Amino acid sequence: MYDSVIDPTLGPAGDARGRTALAPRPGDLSGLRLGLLANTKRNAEEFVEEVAGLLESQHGVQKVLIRKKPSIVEPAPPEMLEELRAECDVVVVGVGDCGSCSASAVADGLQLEEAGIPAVVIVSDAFRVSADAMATLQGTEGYQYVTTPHPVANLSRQGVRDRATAAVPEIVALLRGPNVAPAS
Amino acid sequence: MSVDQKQLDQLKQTLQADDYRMDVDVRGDSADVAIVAGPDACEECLVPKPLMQSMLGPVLGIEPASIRLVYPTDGPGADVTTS
Amino acid sequence: MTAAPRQVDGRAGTADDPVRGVRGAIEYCYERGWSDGLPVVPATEDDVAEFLATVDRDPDEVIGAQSHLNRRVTVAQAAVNAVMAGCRPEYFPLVLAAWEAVTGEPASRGGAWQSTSGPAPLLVVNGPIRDRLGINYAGGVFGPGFRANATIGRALGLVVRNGYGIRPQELEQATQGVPGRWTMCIGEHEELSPWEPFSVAGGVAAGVDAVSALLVRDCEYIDNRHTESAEAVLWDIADTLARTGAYLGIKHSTGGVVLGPEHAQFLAAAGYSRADVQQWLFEHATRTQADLIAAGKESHDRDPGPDPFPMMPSAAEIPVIVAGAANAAISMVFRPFGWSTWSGRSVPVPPARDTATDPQEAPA
Repeated sequence: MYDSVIDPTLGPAGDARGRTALAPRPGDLSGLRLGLLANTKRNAEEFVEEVAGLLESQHGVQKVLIRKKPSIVEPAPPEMLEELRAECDVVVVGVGDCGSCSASAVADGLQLEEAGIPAVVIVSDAFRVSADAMATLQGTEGYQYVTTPHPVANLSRQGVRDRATAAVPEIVALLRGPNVAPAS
Repeated sequence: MSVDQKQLDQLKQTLQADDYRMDVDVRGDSADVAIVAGPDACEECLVPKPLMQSMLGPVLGIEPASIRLVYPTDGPGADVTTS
Repeated sequence: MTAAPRQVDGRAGTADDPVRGVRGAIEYCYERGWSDGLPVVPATEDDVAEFLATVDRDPDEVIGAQSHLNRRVTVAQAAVNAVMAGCRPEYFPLVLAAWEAVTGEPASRGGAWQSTSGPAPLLVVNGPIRDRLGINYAGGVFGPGFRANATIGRALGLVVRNGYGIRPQELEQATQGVPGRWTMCIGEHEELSPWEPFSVAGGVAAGVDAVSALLVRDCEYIDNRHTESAEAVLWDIADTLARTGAYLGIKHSTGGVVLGPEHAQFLAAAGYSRADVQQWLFEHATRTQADLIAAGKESHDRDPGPDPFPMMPSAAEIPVIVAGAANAAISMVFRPFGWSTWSGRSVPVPPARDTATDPQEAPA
C-alpha cells in the first residue's frame, strides 16, 4: 500500500554487524611493522613498549608507531585507526586494566581486524567480564585476547617487564596463529 | 528468570577492581542497580551505561532496558559525566 | 504506480485525487514509530534524490555513529529524515552542516542523546543563507512560524530517533527533557548586532554562511527595560547565570546569552565589546559559599574554592549571541549541557548545488 515510503531507520549496508572475521595471520613475524595502541591508564604505554622490545629482539619485528588514545572509554578515533592501518602490519593494543578500557580495547582489536590488521589485545584478568561483554556486543562472542594479572597500574618498570615477558608467548601465538574463528 | 549469583559476584569483583561497589535491587521484571564509588574509584573506568546494562541483563535475568542504572556521577538529576 | 489494490477506508488516495491518500501515508509512518509526535512527510525515493542532489556528498558516507549501540547513519539517511521533517531540498546542505556542528560538540558525544538531562541542540545560523532560506533571526526567533527554523532542527532529531533508534522512554532517558528540544534553530541578527557575527569566534569569516551548535538544558528570559545603566542590565543577566539550580555541585555551572538587539546595542553604546560583556558576566556571576551550602551544593573537596565562587567556567566560555526584534529590552539566558559549553567551532555551509528538478519549486 505505502511501499514507496522509505524506511528512515534503515542504516547503511552491513550495519547489522555480524561476527568480525579476523585478519589473515602472517605466520612469521620477522620484518613486520609493529604498531602499538595504548590507553591513558598508568603503565599501559610502558607495558606495550616492553612487549614491543621483546617482539623486536626475539621475533625480528620493527616497532614503527605508538599511539595513545585520547579517551579511555571510547575506541580509537578513525584517524588514529587509519594511521595504524596505513603504517603497520600488526598491532598490539593495551592495557585494558579497568572496566571501560578493557571494553574499548576489545572494540579497538575488532576495529583493526576488520581493517585487515592482525591485532592482539591485552586485558588484565579482573576485567574479563567487560572485555567479553564488548566482544558480544560487537557480534564477536568468544573473541580471544591475552590476559595479565590485575593490577597493572601499581607495578614498577621491572614488574611491567616481567609481565610483558610472561605475556609475549601468547601474544605471538595470537598474532601468528592459524586464522581460526574464535570459539563462540 | 532468576539471578545468576555466581556471575553477579564475578561482575561485582570486576567493579571492585576499579573500587566500585554495586547494589542490586531486583523487583519482578525490573531492577534498580546503583554503582557507588569508593575513594580510589576512577571516574572514567566505568563502562558506558548501555554496555553495563547489556552485561547485567543476562546476569539478573532482566531485560537490559528494564534495568535502572545509577552511576556515581549521576548527581541529582544530572548525568553529564557518564559518557 | 500500477493498479495496486487500494484500501477503501477513506485513507487511500486515488489517481484523480491523490490528496485522499495523504493522511493514510502519514498514519503509516506513525504506526511504524518514525514520527516525533507531529506528522512527518512520507519520503519517497524521488524526494530523497532531490535532496541528495543539493550536496556534493556520497550518499553512503557515514556521518555519525553510536558505537555502543552499533548504529551508524549516512548522508542518505539524513536526507530521508530531512524530507520527513518538512525541510525543503535547499535546506539540506545546512541540515548536514548542522549535524556536523552538533556531532562535533564534545557535549554530544557519549550518552548525550540518552541522558537524563535531555539536552537540546541550539543551532545558530550566520551569513546570507538566513535570508536565502528564510531563517528567522528577528521577532519571535525562538518561537514557531518559520519553516526553516522549525524543520532543520527537527531533521536532526529524526536522525537521532530513526537513525540511531534513540527514542524517549526507551534508549532516551530524559527525566523531563527540554522544551523545543529539536526546534531551537535561530539566525543571528547580524544587521542589528553591534558586534561581529557569532560564527567569527567559531573560525568562519563574516559574511560566510555558517552554523554553530550548542547543547542546552534550558532558556530563561531577562526582562530589563527601564534602567539607564549598562551594568544594571549586566547584573540582571549575571544573576540568572549564577542561579544555583543549574549548578550540579561540582566544577562549575555553565551559561550563555542570546541578547535582544536592544540590550546588545545598549551595552555597545556604553562601550562594551562582546569580550567586555563576557568578562563582566564572568566576574559577577558568582555565589557565596553560604549560598552553595544552603542549596546543598557545597564542595566536598579539601579546597572548596573561592568565596564568592565563580559559577561560570571562564569569560570566553560564556557565548554571547544577538537575536530577536528591537522592540523591547529582553534577552535570553541559556544553559549549555556538560562542562565544555561550546567547542568554539562553527561549520561553514556549502551553497546548495543547482538542482532545478522542478523549476516551479525553485527557491525564490
